Amino acid sequence: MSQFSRKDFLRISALASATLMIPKFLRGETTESKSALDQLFLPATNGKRLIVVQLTGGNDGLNMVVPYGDDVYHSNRPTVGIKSAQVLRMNDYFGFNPGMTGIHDLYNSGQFALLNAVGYDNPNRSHFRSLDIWQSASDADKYIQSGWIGRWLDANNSGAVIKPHLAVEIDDAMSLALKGNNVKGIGTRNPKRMRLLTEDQLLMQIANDYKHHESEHPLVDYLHKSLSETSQSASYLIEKSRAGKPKAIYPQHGFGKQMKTVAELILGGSETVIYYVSLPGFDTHAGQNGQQNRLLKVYSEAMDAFSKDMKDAGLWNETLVMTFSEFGRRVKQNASQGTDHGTANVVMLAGGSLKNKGVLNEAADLTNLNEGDLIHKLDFRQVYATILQNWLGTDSEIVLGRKFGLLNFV
Amino acid sequence: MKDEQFRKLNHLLNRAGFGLTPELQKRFEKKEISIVVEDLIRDAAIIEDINYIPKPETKDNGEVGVVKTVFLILKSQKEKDQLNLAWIERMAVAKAQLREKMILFWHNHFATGTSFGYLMQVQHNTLRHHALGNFREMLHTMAKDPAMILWLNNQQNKKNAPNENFAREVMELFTLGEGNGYTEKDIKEAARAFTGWTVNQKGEFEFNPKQHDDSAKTVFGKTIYKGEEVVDLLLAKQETAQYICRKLYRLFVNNEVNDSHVSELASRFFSNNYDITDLLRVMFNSEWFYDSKNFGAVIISPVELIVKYKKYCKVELEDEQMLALQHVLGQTLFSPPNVAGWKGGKSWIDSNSLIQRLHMPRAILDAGTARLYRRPAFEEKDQPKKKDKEEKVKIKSDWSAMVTHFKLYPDNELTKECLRFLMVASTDHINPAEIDKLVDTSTKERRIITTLTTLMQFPEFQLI
Repeated sequence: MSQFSRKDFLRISALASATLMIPKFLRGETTESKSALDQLFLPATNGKRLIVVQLTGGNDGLNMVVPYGDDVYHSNRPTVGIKSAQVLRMNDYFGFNPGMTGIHDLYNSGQFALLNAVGYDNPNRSHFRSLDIWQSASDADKYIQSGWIGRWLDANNSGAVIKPHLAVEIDDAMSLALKGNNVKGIGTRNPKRMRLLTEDQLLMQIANDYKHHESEHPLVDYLHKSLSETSQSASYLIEKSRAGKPKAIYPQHGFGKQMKTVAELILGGSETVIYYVSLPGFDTHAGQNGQQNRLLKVYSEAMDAFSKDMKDAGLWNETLVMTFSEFGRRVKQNASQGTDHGTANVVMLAGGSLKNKGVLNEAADLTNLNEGDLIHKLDFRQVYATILQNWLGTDSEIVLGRKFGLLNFV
Repeated sequence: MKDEQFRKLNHLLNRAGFGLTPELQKRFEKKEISIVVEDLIRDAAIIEDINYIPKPETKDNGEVGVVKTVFLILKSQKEKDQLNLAWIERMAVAKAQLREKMILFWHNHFATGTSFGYLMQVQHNTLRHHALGNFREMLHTMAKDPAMILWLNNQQNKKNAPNENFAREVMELFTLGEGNGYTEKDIKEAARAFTGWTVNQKGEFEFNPKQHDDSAKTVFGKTIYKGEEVVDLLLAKQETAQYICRKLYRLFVNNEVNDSHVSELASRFFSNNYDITDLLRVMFNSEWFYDSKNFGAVIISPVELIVKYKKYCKVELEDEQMLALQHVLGQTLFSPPNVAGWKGGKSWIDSNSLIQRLHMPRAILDAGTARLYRRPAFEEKDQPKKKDKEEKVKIKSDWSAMVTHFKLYPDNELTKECLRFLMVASTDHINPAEIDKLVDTSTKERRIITTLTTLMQFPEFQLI
């Protein structure tokens, strides 16, 4: 550890102004078009970005994108089902949940695509396990302790400068999805929270002092290196989120706030490629309609605001939003005005440059079921592979471990 | 006390418990390491169940009933939280440190997170009893553990529709290790042997002969009939001892494995019929255990770190914050990520968890921190609308034991003494003279506390 200029900083640090605490190499260059941080992190990506939205709890896809044109749907859901008159019509068969006007608009203007019956072999109906499977992109009978986005980070961080902030989750803790074998993304509910680090002079001093030494105790080196990377990413993200000024109105809800934070970072010029957000509360075993409709309204309003901000800044064409849930729900409603855990589900895509729009594949078969549940027609890793390969320009086989048939939405 | 000897003691206590405390230093500093090992083993003989969750009320026939079962699942998260907090407290105060540490090891090994709080408590107490006993008995018991059966779907393992989940995991994760000495055929056959192993409405193990496939099965080339025989066949394989010892080595010795040391432990474990205490005794007494490259060779797990803080300065947080802290640090007791358990090692470290780990001493010193959130449950209602303002949480701490211990040292020796107390890894980065410029010298007490918290902010403190 080297020179400390202030003897009693423990007491004064709480009072010190933010500029005092930004490490030297970051200061004084904000008038130039590119800040020192931008110069440190040379862009390594193709300018496209992905937002992954996780609807946690097992979202009932059948009441979100309603197959109102199918009598089997109505007969299985006499009271939980959404009436044909209420849906926001997409075509003669499908209609959106009535709360989803924003998404309906995106659909009508060719900025939305729907994939039906997405799932995997031997579906698991446990929330935890199925989330694990989706996030690690593993087979149902394998346990992979890294996430698909984390492995994408591994594949895109081979250079000398490691950039954890290429993938950011807006949450206090980080999901398995963002944990690679070598590189892990950044998780933060709000970049301002990372000031716990950037405003701690001692920690920043330790971080800035980091130099790799071959002879170093490997774990001491690892922790110091991680701190150094984290502090750089934290400073970077704080700067970018401060610079970004979304104009649209986001719903007053945790999820609205998350999407606004994403917009701040993008508009602030962050080079982050993948953002991960989640909206929980979809485990609707009882009293489904009120709860799910409300959540979907929040989702749709947030997407509407976000897409407006992106269009306004001319960034919507480089943006793709993928929305999934760990599983869908049983076709037949249960006895308490709800639905139970199911299997295959819809995946929704939104963005300004979708290659194919609207409903992309055949609807799930509501008659030919497996133990009352939908049978999947697409493997969720086909969706990942398509995004990795065709959108992010990364070899999907490296990330997913094997080849999956590509789809054609991007 | 000589530095070398002190480091050994510090290392041993980090691994065989939750680290050095003033009390333990006083008790052990003049003793031979081999004597300390025996003392720790003797302390660990105490077995005291955790009985926090009452047994669910049952109908006259002793059964819970279907409606009640649903109710139990609903209140289960709360119960698991209570069990979690009770165990954290227990780890912080128990005399049987080695037992607590081994229960944590086995909780990660037989990683179960089923949604019945009471059954998790039953399983926890089973691990409590067997933690330092015999792995053979433990494995047989765990194969019939109700929470385990539910967790790995053995309820659905029936004669006409076998479910392979338990059979696969008992080989892949509990004994042999992935792809190590078994075939898909072995799993299929073993699964048939476990058919009919269920949990009844009383929450107990029950063998249901109607669902059991009693025809012959061939596992590892041998003809068998019963599930117990599969367990015995697994224990008859040396690979099982090798697998357990490897895992133990990674957590108790060095995350980087030395194969010859592991083989040495494994052959002892195997030939001594899976006696766990004997295995630990051999490990803690072996010369290589104290090889300096093993000092600080493990990143402390979140739960151990929390317990360490409790031991140092009696940290107290609101219950919800204690649980959120575990969540953010990446290890919530009774909620392992999946049956493979917590991966540990470098995977403990990500940007959030690292910031939180390094911020903790500062938060304790300032007696407050920003509120943390657990990721909301699947069932949770909409989040309440909150103002953007960051809410603060109060943290209580009591450093008196540490202050009493360190006030005997003059100011010019204090930092060095704190350094060797807190850290076992290399501390080349840390210059005591520079640290002295940072601390609050207004009183001796403040000097001690701020010296400790300043040093604890260094990444080296995360290594045990």
